[in-house]
Amino acid sequence: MLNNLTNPQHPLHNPDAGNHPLPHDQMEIEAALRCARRILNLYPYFMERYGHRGEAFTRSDTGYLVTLLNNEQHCVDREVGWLARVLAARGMPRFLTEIHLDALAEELVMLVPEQDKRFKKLSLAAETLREERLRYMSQADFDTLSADFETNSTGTIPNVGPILVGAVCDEAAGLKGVIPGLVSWLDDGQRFSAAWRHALADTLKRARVIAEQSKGHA
Amino acid sequence: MSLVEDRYDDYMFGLLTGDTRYCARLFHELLKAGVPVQSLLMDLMQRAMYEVGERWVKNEISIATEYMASTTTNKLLSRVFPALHQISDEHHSAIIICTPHNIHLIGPRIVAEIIALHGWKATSLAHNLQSDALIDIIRERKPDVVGISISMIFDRADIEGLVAKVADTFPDLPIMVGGHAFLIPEVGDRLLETLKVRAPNLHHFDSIATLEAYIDSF
Repeated sequence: MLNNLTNPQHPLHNPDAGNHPLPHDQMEIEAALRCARRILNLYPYFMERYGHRGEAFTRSDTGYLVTLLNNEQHCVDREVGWLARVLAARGMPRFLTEIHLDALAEELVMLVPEQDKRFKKLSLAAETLREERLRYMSQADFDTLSADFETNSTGTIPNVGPILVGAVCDEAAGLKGVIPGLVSWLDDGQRFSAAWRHALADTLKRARVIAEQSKGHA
Repeated sequence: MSLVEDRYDDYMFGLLTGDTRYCARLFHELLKAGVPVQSLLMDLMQRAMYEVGERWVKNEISIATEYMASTTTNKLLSRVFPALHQISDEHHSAIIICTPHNIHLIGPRIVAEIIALHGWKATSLAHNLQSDALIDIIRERKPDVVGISISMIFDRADIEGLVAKVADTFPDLPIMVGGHAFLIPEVGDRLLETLKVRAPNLHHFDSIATLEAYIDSF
């Protein structure tokens, strides 16, 4: 296994990410790079908010996720759960990790189809996160609220709706600080229009009502 | 409430503000009041560092603060505890290391301190010690026991390699293993089974009491 700190030439290397393993298989590295690009394109929020640091962490985190494939499923779930919590507390709700895992599994299967069973570990880890999210809100409600935000906010940054609604699910699951970590940037009047901020407040309010009702039924 | 419990928040404050002198004074106060050194190491130092890690995960403290707490802890380990070692001819010795690339050095240092409290010469070595270098120093220092710590589960291959190399080269040398990775349900047990196959003279310690009993049995 290549080591992150000692291999600055590694395409997934990020000097700010500390010391963690990275994949050494060329196809897996390529899949990780494709996945990172895909996530950054799908959610411009990353680059808008975190800039090049966000891009570097997206790469190195993707590399780290690939290395988890060497472990048993419950170990993958445990490590993914830890990383998802770390990111959620820093403005990236666990929904983003869920999507990240799905995208990575797809890219890996596309490049190395013969190992699809091995890569399924990532899809299963995504499924575990998804199951927890859906405890607090149905997918239909999740999609409706996300789409409404996209329409009502006039879309300064696309695809922020699911991030917001995902944060409410994390909050309902007991993760503290996820929404403050998000709105500290997304609700900045210097950066966003009144329509955006109004849509943001409205989405959070509606999502919280649904999540609270789900908690009541649980 | 015990004396250690009573002063835990004060110690945490000192740690998070990087106030080594304050923490050292607190240690001396508690020692004077009759608190065992082991309790300072485990109930104050280890517990506090676990909490620091968890607070970083939750983004309640920055990575810089976490590093400051680690640095303060390392300084305390260097300044406070060596003066407490029993005066002896140090006829027994131990080398304690962690897996290569691992930067979680505080655990192995605490273990070395506890062994030293029993009159042993216990040395914890810096991180990134590769297996050949470990073999060299064992040959040179002829310790009675070697301890290897593993924190992160992704370092499994590293500890397996180290244990195999030490056991093959010095079949009679007892190897102690421990660390956070062994606490992971199922994974820890499986790892231990694998290591025991490679090194029959291997001992796992999950508590200070069992470690101390083992050291005293020499």
